[in-house]
Amino acid sequence: MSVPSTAPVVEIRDVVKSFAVGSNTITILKGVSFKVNAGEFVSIVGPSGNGKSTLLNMITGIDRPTSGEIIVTGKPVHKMSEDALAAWRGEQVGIIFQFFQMLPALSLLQNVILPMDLGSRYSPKERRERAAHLLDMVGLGDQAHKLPAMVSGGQQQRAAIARALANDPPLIIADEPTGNLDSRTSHDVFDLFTNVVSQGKTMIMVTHDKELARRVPRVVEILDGKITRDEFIGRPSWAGY
Amino acid sequence: MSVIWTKVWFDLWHGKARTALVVLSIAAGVFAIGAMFGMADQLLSTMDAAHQAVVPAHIKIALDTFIDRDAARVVAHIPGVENAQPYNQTAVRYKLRPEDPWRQGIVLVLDDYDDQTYEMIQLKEGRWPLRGDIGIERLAAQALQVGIGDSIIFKIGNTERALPIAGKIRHPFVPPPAFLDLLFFFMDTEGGERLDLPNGRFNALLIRVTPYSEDYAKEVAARIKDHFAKQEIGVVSTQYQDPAKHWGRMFMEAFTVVLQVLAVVSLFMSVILVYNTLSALITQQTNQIGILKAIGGNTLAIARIYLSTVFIYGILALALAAPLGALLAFGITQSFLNLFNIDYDAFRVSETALGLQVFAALAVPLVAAALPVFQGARITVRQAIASYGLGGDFGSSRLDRWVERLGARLLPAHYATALGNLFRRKGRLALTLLVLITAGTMFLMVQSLSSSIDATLASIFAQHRYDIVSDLGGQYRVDRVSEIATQVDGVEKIELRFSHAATLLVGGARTKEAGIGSSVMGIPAGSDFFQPFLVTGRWLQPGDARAAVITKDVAKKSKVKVGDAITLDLNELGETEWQVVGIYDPVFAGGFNPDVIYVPQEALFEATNKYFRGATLYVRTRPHDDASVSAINTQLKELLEARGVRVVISQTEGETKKTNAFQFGIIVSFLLALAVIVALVGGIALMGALSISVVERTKEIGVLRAVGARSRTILGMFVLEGVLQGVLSWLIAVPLSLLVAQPMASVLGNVMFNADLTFQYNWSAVGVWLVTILIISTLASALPARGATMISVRDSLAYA
Repeated sequence: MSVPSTAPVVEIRDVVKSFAVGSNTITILKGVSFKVNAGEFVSIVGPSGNGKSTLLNMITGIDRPTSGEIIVTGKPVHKMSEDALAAWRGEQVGIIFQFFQMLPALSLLQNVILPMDLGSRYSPKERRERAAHLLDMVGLGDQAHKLPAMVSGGQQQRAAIARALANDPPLIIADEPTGNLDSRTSHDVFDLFTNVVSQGKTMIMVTHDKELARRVPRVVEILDGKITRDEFIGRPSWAGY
Repeated sequence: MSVIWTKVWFDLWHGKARTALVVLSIAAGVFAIGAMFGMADQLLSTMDAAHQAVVPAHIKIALDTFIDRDAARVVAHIPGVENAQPYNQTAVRYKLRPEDPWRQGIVLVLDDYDDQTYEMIQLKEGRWPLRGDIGIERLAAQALQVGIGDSIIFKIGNTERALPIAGKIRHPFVPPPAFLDLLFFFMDTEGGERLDLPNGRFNALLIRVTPYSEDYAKEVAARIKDHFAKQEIGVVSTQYQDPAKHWGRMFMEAFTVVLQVLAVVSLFMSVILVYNTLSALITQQTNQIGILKAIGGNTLAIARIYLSTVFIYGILALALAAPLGALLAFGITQSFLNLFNIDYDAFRVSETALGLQVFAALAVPLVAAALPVFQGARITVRQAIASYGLGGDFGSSRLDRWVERLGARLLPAHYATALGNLFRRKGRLALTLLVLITAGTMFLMVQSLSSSIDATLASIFAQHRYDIVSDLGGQYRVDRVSEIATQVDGVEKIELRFSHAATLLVGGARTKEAGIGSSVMGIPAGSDFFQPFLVTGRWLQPGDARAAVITKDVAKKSKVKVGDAITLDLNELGETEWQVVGIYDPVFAGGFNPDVIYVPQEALFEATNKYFRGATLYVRTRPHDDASVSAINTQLKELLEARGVRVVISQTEGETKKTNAFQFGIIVSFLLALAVIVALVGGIALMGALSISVVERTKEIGVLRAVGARSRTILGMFVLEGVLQGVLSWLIAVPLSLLVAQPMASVLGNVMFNADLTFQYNWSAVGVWLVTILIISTLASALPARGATMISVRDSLAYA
């Protein structure tokens, strides 16, 4: 097992995460440590309820560890305030959710503009141009002014990818991005991911889809709250699959 | 423009019903603020300005003897007197048509209407009266529905004479005809002569002092009274006026303050809906907040989105309420000012009220929304995603379990859900109930205030064992008046009491000379006509010599208690010593009601050396119904006038009751209107809460639909939930009103009417409110309930 020797974008040190359920405490992550370097495409796999999404939430600062340290893009996210995390996420992390999570009130174009608005990145004109360009890139140029409810799940997920790229973040996190899509659409979405990584982004994706996972250069498997496998297949994602 | 605004717009437009409810609710409170504060601002300031514009006299003195212009000039030279304007005033009897009964009025005579110094009367239409015609006070013209060219029949001596109206005149100090049936007319000096008002001689003076102060005016008045006493001229009455403040202020000031307080209460009730709605909106959009945070939105950015929504609610409410509030404020102000004979025709918007409305519409809802908005905006992404799915906390508390058991025992399963749903969002339930309970308590309080006023008036009138009171305008012999009055069929018994203007002296100082002034009244020994409500001591008894019963206000102001000696200055009749044996509560004091000091009539005769005379006639009739008493009153007045006894004013108990009912009716109506506004806000709040409930429970409705629930079951569930809230609010409002109605009636009675009311809780209002709240809650829940029945299984389960 080997990893590229670039500076780590994500560094997780001995992270433990426990939840209180009634009078019991359940530990989801049991001392997890690993690093992800810039430009890597990592797939996190494992059965449901074993801590994959929890680990992802730790990386994005959505959840906090019970103990341990999480350094992402050089920031100790386990120590940051909610507002600092929000601002940091807007700049450094693009998140793609399983259920797309588009704001229903906004068109696809506006959904893509939104992170730029919130982060005050680019001029208003540049925001529109960039959002239109990103939607073009994901093949939705002609659907830009439709509301999320008017397009298919696959199209929503493509728009969500465009949104995740809006502020040009170095790290993209995707939580079961193809979980709600059919096989063909899943492959289309995955192709977009490889395209994104080929542009130098770092990508971490949680997936159940074994076939997709096999196409990712590095696979991290979590079982019962521990990393049981961290395998670098060897071919960089941007080399083509 | 930021795309965030698209979301704000979407929330407003997509939730049109919610937007309309919140806007209407804020608008109701803002409207009440605008109407009440606008009215108070315009009313009191315009009253004062109109008052100052007519150069009101500081002192008005009525004399029992005519004086000439030279004597008036002498008064003007008394130290402290700025000037004195003489005039004549006398009681007259008039009617419109020959077949009408005679009515009482006042004729005022100035020798030169173009040369007035004080209390400027103004010609509004036509010309000043000349020999052979009259001027009519414009309120009188309005009440009688007559105009220039019409004629009024006057009783002049023993003849009737129709005099044409030459002009409509405004007199700044006439009582509103709705308050007192005593209309004013104007004549020139020749016209006055026909009414026994000698040309060039006067029976009243308008006086100003310099420099003005209330105390100095009283001091100067004392000098003037002494001056007249030395010439054996009697001062019948002395009135004082604040030159800066309109006399009607005492009626309106406390009343407007109470209305303003209630308007603020209405506003707070209406912003509760803002709190409720924003709480629900935030809960409903927790997921969206999570997304916004996940893509870089911080707390402030998210709070700004929702506060912008609230700000727009406020702008819409202001646009709706500001013009309506200003219109109503102007309308109420105009009608009140017209009641006080003040013109108010140019539409004006109170800047103060508008400023308050802007604050109430824009700032207050933002403050109300701040808590739920910041709580929601502070939520973490994980909490936002994990907590999505609503009402999952129901069943965790003891109350929830008790409610669940109660519902299971009393109701079919699907309706038991309604009971459970009621307690699902306890915070929202509490706030909605707060509005409904406030409305109910206000309604019951106002109704109890109204019934307390009725009860107080009833107990006062029950103490009156007479049916007619007549002011004879001078002292007449008791046997003469008695002989005339008992000739009228239906008169059972009469009492002629000696009354005279008096000044109470304690330690040599004049302690009571405010308002219309105090007067002393002689009560014949063994009189069973009337007994006031005694606070301490006792009522006058046969055999009492120099005993006096005074009002509690006089006792308090002059620090006199039962057993103390007081001196009464009866002006030209001299000073006399009395001992206080009782202190009474006049109940409705202030305003036109003077503080009357009751003493035994015999002792008063002795003290004044005026034996067997009286000026105030009390009559007990055999039939007591209004129509019979009114007929007897007319006959009595006619007979007395025919026999040379002047009747200035004569009022039956029925007429007095009507006047009281009118005065208090206006106030109670206003209070009731505000209670209705709060009740409407309560209905809107309930509708809003149930609409939100429907949205929150879309999935649950879908599940119920999927397992076979029909539309009427869904409809019934939501209507039942609304009605249960209404009934629950009623169950709390009734005991609450029982607790607070009495102290509130006492405070309101004292503040607004200067009266200690006999409290009477209005039990029939409890039933009326139950019916009202059932109607409100059924109507308020019908729309959201209907909305719930429109939800399909497919839609509801797709909802996320």
